[in-house]
Amino acid sequence: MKIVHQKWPSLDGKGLMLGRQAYTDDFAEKDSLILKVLRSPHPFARIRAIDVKAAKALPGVECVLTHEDFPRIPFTRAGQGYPEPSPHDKFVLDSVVRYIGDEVAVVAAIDEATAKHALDLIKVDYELLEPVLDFETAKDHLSVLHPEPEIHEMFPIGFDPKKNVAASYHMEIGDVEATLKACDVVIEKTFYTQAQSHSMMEPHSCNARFDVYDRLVIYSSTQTPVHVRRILSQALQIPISRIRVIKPRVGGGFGGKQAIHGEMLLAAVAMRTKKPCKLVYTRKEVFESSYSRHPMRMAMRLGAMKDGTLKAIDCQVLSDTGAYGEHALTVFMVTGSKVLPLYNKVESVRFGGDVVYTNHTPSGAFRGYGAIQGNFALESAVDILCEALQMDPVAFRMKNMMREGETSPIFAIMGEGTEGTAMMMNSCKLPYCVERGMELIDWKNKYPRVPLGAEKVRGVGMAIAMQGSGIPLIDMASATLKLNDGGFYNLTVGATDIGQKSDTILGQIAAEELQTTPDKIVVTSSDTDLTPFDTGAYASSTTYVSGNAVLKAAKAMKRALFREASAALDLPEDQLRFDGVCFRGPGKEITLEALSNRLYYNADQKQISVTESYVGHQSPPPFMAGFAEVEVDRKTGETRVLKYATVTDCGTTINPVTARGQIEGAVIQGIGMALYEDVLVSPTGKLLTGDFLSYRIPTRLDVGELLTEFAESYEETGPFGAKSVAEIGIDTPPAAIANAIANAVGVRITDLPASPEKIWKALKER
Amino acid sequence: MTMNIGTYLKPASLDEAYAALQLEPKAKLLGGGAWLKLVDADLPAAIDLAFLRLSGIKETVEEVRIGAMTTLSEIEASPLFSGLYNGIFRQAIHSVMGPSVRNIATLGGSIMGRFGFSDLLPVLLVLDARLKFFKHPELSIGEFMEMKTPPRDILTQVILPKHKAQGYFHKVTRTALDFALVNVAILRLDSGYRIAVGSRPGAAMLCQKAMNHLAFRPLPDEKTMVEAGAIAAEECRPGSNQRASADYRKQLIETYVERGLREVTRS
Amino acid sequence: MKITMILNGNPKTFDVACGEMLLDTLRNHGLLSVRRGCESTSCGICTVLLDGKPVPSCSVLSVRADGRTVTTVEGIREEAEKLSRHFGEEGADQCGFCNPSLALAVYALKQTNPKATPQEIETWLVGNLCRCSGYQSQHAAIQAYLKEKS
Repeated sequence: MKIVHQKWPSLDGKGLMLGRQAYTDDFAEKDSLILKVLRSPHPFARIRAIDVKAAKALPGVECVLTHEDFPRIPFTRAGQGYPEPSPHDKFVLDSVVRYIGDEVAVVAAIDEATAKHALDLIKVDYELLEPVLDFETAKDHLSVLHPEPEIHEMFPIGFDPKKNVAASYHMEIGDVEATLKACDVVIEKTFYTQAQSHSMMEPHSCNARFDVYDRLVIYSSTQTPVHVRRILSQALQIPISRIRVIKPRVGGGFGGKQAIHGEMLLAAVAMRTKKPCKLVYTRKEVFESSYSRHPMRMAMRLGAMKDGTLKAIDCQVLSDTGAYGEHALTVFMVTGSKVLPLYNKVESVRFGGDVVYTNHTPSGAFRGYGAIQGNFALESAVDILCEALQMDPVAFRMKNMMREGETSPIFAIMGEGTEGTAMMMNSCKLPYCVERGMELIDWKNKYPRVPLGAEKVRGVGMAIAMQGSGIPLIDMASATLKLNDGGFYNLTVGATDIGQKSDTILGQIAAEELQTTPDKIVVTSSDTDLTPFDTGAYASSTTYVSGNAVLKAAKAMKRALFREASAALDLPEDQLRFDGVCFRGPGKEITLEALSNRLYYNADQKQISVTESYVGHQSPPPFMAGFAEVEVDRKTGETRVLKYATVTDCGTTINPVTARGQIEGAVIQGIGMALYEDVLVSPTGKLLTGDFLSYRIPTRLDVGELLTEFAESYEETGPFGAKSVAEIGIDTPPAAIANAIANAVGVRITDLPASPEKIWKALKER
Repeated sequence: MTMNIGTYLKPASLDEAYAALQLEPKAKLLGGGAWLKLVDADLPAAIDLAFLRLSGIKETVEEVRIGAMTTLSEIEASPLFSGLYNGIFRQAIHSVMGPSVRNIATLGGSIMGRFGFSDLLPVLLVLDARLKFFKHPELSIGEFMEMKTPPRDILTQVILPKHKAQGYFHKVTRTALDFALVNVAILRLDSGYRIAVGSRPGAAMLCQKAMNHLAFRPLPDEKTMVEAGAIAAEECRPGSNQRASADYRKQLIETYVERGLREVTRS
Repeated sequence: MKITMILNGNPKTFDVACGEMLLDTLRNHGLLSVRRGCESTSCGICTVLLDGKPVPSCSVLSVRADGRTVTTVEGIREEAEKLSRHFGEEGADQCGFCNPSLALAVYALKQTNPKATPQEIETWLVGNLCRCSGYQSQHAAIQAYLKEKS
């Protein structure tokens, strides 16, 4: 392969470094009206009355909207395929507010100061309601967040709002209780994971204008332009053909932009004022009023025989979806579906639980999407089991983990909100990943611990993980390739580049197939008018699903080119050879450039353009083994990661350096979740971590040495053997680090983050 | 985001600045501006000190005098502080945020707010720094910290005695840019030990009882150092906040005072 | 209030409100590379050079820039291009939102301490957050850029 599996500079890297016009706010019209949102100061309240007269009368204020201005049409903000597996439980604006930071009203004014002043002039009479602030007592709580009659699920997801349940699910293979009874060793442990904030560097941003065709044109920093367009159309009753959503460069998403954020209020204001307007979230609004990761409680039970055979897994989950149910069911299901198959040879496995509403910032999609929570629980539980079995944790995993050519019955049962899809592991290099990872971390010399004097000790720990490559039978991607005069191509894709360089790698796939170089492929993405359909950047779908669509399109283009070259040279196609630049046959040749000019200017003229689509019938998981070396201060519990080694099987890496970048960025986010990051809420429901001073993400000095490698692997159903790589990197650090701490100092942290204080307390109590 | 500044004054002299400060009770002095947005979204009146030439580092035989508007970066870069007191003053300054914030944050601005999270205050306490104001009589940093209300005056200079001393400074944080869970400064002089703890989460204080425990023992033994740590932890009366509980802070203070004493007595 | 600064090599006069921050003056002037990332002076996304030194433009009053030199990435184009080539080599380029501010901080480092060790690079840039890259690839690229002869 000349282009794929090669390092290639990204298409937009230089332009982004030079600070050229690129991100959403860069495209806001001059003199846009500035939108500011009045947000609830109460975690749960009914708006008895809202008086906006003074706000409207303020000079410079052009629009003020409250719940009284909208018909009651429920929708979901979740950026998912239709019909969405998330409940339709949100109104544009409601007479009930359900978390501190929830939307009460929106103001549009000529400048920010006026808009802010107008917010202060809005008078709201709240009737305070008893908030639900503990997800463990949310179900059947007397206080019901969503008693509204209009809300509904789109298909059965276990939606039971009267009990504050947004979704629930249950499945069992075999008989877990019976199997556990027959096991030699059974361990039980309950784990808790915290809410985590995406902390992408670009705050959520969107802007709108009416163009010369009187259509609503929105720029948005979004992962799902297609879903944004559809949901706006449904909720605001605008014909979908009158809306255009454009996603320019995005300054990070990680799932935090896989939903409607400001676009709903923006579009509503634009429709009424017919003026250009914009809404840029403050960092506080990003923390408080966008989304964070679903906090979860996972009760694990594992049963094994003396010889180390894992026989049963039971995983019962309680997930906190916050005030609204975006991604409630699907994140929760991934906690099982993209974790439990790691130990596919068990006799029985059970997974189930509820997702409950609470009066907190809504939970939503975040890289890993349930798999990181489930991985923490399962891979920690496995180490606990190994201790009880007196068995080496690596040996245990090698004995029980998924292998190439195998499958798990869970794949067929658990999909994303629907039934799953059975699949064999065509490619699974876990054994290599584990063995190589051990070498990288020097496991043999460091396991379990190496003391450093009286006060410090170093330990190593590990975890394995899997994720997916798109949602089978649901995620559809398409690509259009157009030949231009001059012999170069336009590749238009719906696939959403949010910084993961999908434009670049999709261009590489096309270039490889067309036997040319990336500079000959101009990639345009994510404009609902100009690019073909793609569900968007989530579920690790881009490389595999969008990549396959691009590959199909490139193959179709080649077929078309051969047809035209054959006609132009008057030679049968099978006598022609093509090297990407020139078609050659016996005694005759024509360059692609000459052919294109002929096609557009001179003879037999026609536009050569192809569109192909792809829907996966499988979701071949990438796999990873993650190894952590930590240093723990015995006296204070302070812990840092010295080294983190990962070996990933994602099939072919389309671009090895961008893939490595994806893995390393994800690993650091995982380390953040393991050790540092914590969304803290006061007992009265107020967010305490609404800025980077109180919500600490890892800095350059907190990252130890990262050792990142890829396994030689090839997934035959993927484009040039590729699987996706976007999320897998985040999954292992919580368990690997918790295991390393346990190996270092003998304490088991079961609720994240593993703060120094928790470690210290556990050491004291031992 | 524009700050709402009612009236902005760019005084040409200290007299003018001082007079304006007394005239308008709501007026605030503008130092480096690094912490401005944390404290005030709107300022009815602001008096800018940036143009009054209050920066600069002067060394005499016995002291170093630092202009209040000297940026933390300028202090960090001065060769004077790499050796003085084992470099703990420089070390504390270096631990404040990142270089670009230190390029605008000033020494005066870092002191006047008496912030609990300050990394400089514990070091200034053990150094027994003195604060020179425009009109108000000179204050020791200890006196300044104990005042109910700080003087409504302009801090012009901070004076550091040039102690020949072994110093220790440690800031306990989770990530490199975090505020301290606690920070500890120790100075070992010929005349005894000075120990200060900050970010308790309350503002820094001298640990007088611990210091007394160490008095008359030029080289304390292990047991005494451990005791001093425990005494310091107790007398600091640490509190709980979202960063740490009081009990954990106690452990941190105990441990790091002990470790600090070990380090300054090593040579 | 009228202020005059040397902006990217040319004198420029602005009429600013006294509470206006340098970030907004520059961005409203059309320098889109200058961005806001937070409200607590903690992310580094708004970094510009003031008299050659990196400062958080979100917390510098524009009136304080009067008579001084201000540099945004638009003023160090060639150097930023060089850095972006190294970023491409190392796969350090991802969403790019932090890149222009980082380029300025790195450029300032090259002027101040071109032989910076890896530890010194990390320390110099600690206030420039990045959420995408995991930092290591950026550091490799920056080391290579510093080694490049001017």
